[in-house]
This record gives sequence, C-alpha cells and structure tokens, in this order.
Amino acid sequence: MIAELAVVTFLFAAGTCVALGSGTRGALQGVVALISQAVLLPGVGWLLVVAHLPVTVVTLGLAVGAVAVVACAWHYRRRTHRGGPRLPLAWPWLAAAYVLTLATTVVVRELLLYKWSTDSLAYLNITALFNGGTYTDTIYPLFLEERLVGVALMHTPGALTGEWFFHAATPLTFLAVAAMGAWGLWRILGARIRPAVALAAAAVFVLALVATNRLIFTAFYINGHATVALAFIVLCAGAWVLAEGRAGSELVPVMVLAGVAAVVTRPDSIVALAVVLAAVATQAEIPRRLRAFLAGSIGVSAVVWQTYVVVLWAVHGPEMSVPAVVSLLLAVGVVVLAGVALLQWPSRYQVWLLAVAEVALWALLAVAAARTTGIVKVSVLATWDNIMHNEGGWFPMLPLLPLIVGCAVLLLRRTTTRPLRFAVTTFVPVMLILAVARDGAYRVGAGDSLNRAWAHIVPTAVVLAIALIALGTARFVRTSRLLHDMDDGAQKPGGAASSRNTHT
Amino acid sequence: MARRSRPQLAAPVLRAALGIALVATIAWSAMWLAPTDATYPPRYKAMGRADTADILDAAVKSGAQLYEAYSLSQAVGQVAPDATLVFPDGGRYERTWTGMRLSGYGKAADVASSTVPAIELWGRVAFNGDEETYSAPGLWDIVLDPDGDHSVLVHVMPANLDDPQLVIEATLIDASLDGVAE
Repeated sequence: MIAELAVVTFLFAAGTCVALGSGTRGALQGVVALISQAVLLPGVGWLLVVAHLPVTVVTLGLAVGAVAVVACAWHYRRRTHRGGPRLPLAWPWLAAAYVLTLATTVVVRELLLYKWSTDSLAYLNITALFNGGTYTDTIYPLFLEERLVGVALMHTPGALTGEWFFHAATPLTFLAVAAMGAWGLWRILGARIRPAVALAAAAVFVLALVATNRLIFTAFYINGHATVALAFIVLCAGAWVLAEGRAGSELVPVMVLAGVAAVVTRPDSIVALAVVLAAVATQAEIPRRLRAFLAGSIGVSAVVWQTYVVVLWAVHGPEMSVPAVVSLLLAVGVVVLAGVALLQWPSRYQVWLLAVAEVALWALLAVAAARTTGIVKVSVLATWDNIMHNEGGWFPMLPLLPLIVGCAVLLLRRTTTRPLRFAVTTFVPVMLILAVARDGAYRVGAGDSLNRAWAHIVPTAVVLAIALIALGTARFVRTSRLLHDMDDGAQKPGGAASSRNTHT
Repeated sequence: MARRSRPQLAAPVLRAALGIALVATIAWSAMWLAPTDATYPPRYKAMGRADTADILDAAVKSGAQLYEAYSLSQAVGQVAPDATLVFPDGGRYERTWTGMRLSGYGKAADVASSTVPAIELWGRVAFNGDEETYSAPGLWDIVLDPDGDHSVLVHVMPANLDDPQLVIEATLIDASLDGVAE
C-alpha cells in the first residue's frame, strides 16, 4: 500500500508540475493534475519503447520526472520573463484532487476492486515484458499492433508491489474522466447561465457515470477503454471550452498528452482522433495557432509511433501489415489537419465540411456493407441485442441516451459544441467501418469490442446532451427571429448574447 | 405577440423535456445497475470485490479463458520451470501467440524456434501422460526442451481447456534438433 501511495503521489506531483507549466489556475489546476497523472505514463513512456530503451519503473519514473522538471522550468521562465505571480498554486483544488487520488488508491487496493478479461492478460503480458527486461527480445509486430503499449505502461508500477498490474491506474483514469466533464460543464454553464445551474449540471454528469453499469465496469477494467474515454472527453470538452473562450492555451498541453496516450493505447484510437481533430481543427472560435499546435503535436507523435510499428513489421513480420500502413497514413492525415487549421476557409465552411465527412462515412459503410458478406448486418444485429435486450449491460442508458442526443442535435444547436457533436454522431459509422476493416463482426455479449467501446463516447455524449439542453437554441426558429429574440435577451440582466451564442 | 411567443417558448420547453428525459434515464440506469450485474460472471460485474489480488490465479479459475493468453505460459511453467522452450515449425506458434507470453510471464528461461515440423517432432517424444486421449497431432503445439528434461505437449485449440490434463509431460527421445535457432 505504501508503495502504491508513493507512486500516485509522485504521479500527482508530476501532474501538478504539468498544470503549473501549462499556466492553469483555479479548479483547472486540480483537473489538469488529475488528468496528467492518469496519462503521463503512456503519454511519455512510449518514447522509451520506440527508442528501445529499458522500460522499467525506474526509467519511467525518470522520464515522467523529466517532464515535470521541464514543466516547472517553463513555469519559472514564464514567471521571470512575464512577471507572473510567484506561486499561483490553487491549494484548495489541488488538495481536493490529491485527497480524491489517495482515497481512490486506498479503496481500490483495500477492496481489491478490479475487472479483467483475457484481453487484460494480454496487456499485462507486455507489462511483464517491460518489467522483465525482455520486451525488445520477444515483442513481435502483430502483438504490438493489436495490444500497443499504453495499458502495459500504465500498469508497470505494479512491479513495485510484486503484482501484475497497478490497482489504481484505471480507476484514477476514470476519475479524471469525471473531473474533466464536470469541470467543463461547470466552467461554461457557470459563466453562461449561473453557478448553481452549472453545479447541478456537473452533478448530473457525474451521476450519469456512476449510474451506468458498463461505465462503472470500465472504471475498474484492466484495459485501455478508460484512457481512450479520457482522451475523447478531454479533447472534445476541452475544444468546447476553448471555443466558448473560457480557457486558452493552458488547456492545450494536457489535451495533447491525453491524445498521445490514446494513440499508444488502442489500435482504433488513431481513427477516432482523426475524426475528433477534424472538427477541432476547423472550429473557428478556437485560435488558429492552438488548433494547429494541438493537431500537429498529436499528429507528429502518432506518425512516430505508427512508423515504429511499420518498421517492426518490415523487419520482423512475414509481410507488411495493411492496418499498420493505414494507421500511419491516418497519422499523417492528422498532421495535415494542423496545416488545415492554419487556413481560414476550412473554418468558414466547417458545417459543410463536417457534413460531407459524415455523409462520406455513412456512404463508405454502405459500400462496405454491400461488398462484404454480412459483417455489417451481423454487427448491427448483435449491437441491437446488446443495447435493446441488455445483453451488453448498457440498458437503459443505451438506447435512451442516443435518442436524447439525437433529439438535441436535430432540434437544438450551439456552434461551439461541434467538436462534441461530431465525435458523438460519427462514432457508430466509424466503429462499423472498423468491424469491416478488421474482417470480424461484432457479437452479442458484454465482452464484445463495440460493446466495450461505447465507454469511449458515452461520457462525451452526456456532456454534449447537457450542453445542448442548457445552451442550445432551437434550430427551427428562423435566424432573423432568433437574433431578434436574442437581442431582447441581451437587454436583460444576465442576458447571454455574445458572438459565440449566435449562429449566423 | 402570440406569433412571436411560440419560438421563444419552443426552445425552453424542448430543453426542459430533454433535461427531464436525461435525468429520468440516469435514474432508470441506476435502478438497472444491480439487476444487470446479477446476469454476469464475477469478472464482468460492475461492482463487488475480487476474491484475490492475484489476477493470474483468477485466470486459472476461469477455465475456458485459459487458451487465449494464459495456458501455455502458466501451465508449461508449472511443468517445466526455467526450461528452454523450443517451438517447431520455425516458431510459427511462437510468433502468433506462445513464445512472447511464455517469456512475458517469466515462466520460461528462454524461447527458441526449430524448423523441424511439429508432425516430425511428434515421433520424437515419449509421453508420461495418457496421450491416447489426445491423439490428434495437428491440434497440439509441441514445446520441447532440447535437454529432454522438461518437454511438454500443449493443446493449442480452445476446446475443453479447463482440463488440467491438457498439459502432458513428455520426454524427448531424439534430442538432435536440427535447425534450432535462438
């Protein structure tokens, strides 16, 4: 127990350094510390893997420590050069976040709360390779392509207590999911409506997480789903906050870290990130340099990682892997998105570009369904059973949440929520196309890939639903009348009629 | 006035309806949490502690799950601790699923491959177990220790893998394994 508390304390301290170096203040400092402590090991450790350096608790600790030192040095430089405050630590928020971290660590360790499947064993085998120093001798490309290294890196500290996995890793990641969603809602709704409503919305979000069977399972499941869910919500909700103008560049480093962690955690993450970043990169309300930096940083990291996988295939594989090459091309595409973010016209036509992209995904799925022998049909039928007959354990959150989100998206709108919306509404076609790509249909049961992957998007979908319900304007109202109504609202005290609320 | 109030009212009513629906969904989900859990085996339950912190011990108890990630590493390790394990057919099985896991779990001191076909190796081992029960050579992965002390035979297909007799101790008769490569 002492070793585990020492590890989470070290990771939290490093996360706090990242928060400081990013220039965060107030509650965001605690939130960034929580997110960073969850993604630092995969987000940094993969560099050791690519460099074929030893990946042990010590070397990982040194790498994470180096990031913390750089972040602190960056903070010191900003303070001395720009005259910032000497110690802008948000002690109450950091203390609260640290107490939550310790409490989570103690509870999951004492009560032995963890969930597993055969996939978990495969991931932990790579952890064992790291800790045993046999990774470079025994890794082979297919295994790396399927399992990657993110989950293995998260659980490497388990070796300190002689165990195969690190008990606190997944629960702390899911704690960060809750923190990010709650903070985003609180931050925006507190400013746009009033603090009491914002607190209620944040509470509803957290309740949605703890009331959903498969999300609770995911919070303790030894796998990478919690990390990908964290990346989704940090990127999408973060982009929403940026677009609303309630945060600036201080949010970007942790968004990059979360995105990179997802890239090295699950093989389908690069596809999801390409979709999410397409919306973020064209979001006009976010400063162009931030959009470009976000897509560029994640894209370059993804290119390096996917190149490593392709090289492994070239050197050790019997033949080149098509999925590895496609993933590399997608990573290059994310880098290209950084260039797109620097242009003006994509933002001007974002609505149409995203609409075309979404239609293209459905069209691609239709073509795939027509050219394959039943993969899409079997997948859809299995998913129907999983959702409607509770074979997957999501009922009633699924299917009711998609209905609510569907109604909200069709009937309400708010420009700044597009990154959230695009990630949510493209999820189904992307996952079905992935089923065709892997040449394997989804199946009935809680262990099905898609059934587990719902956990990636459900927290983000809840944020989207709450955001639209709280701030959306009716789509069916003509713009001229809408503007007239909003002008009326602007004349009232507290009337929210900024440029971000209009949809011209 | 009446014409203008409709759009003003529409959005709040719609938002209120969706908000109520969301809260109701959350409440209903909470009510379904325990009933859903009751349908799952322990490792898929959302709540409830595990019996032991040893996940590998849990894997052993899971029976049919053994084949995927666990059977060769743990079972072979128990029969042949610290052995050098040699995989036939150029290590094909090693590359698909066995070799790495054996080394990963630390049950094998070393892993090597042999170009000798599995079917040929079949004739070079003498079994200590009841090999007649498992008489289909094509379904077996032969894991051999060149020294002959810890050779074992392991089923690689996921059928009835909760049977502990699936791992049979074998003795290598002809130890001249040409083409063995580290």
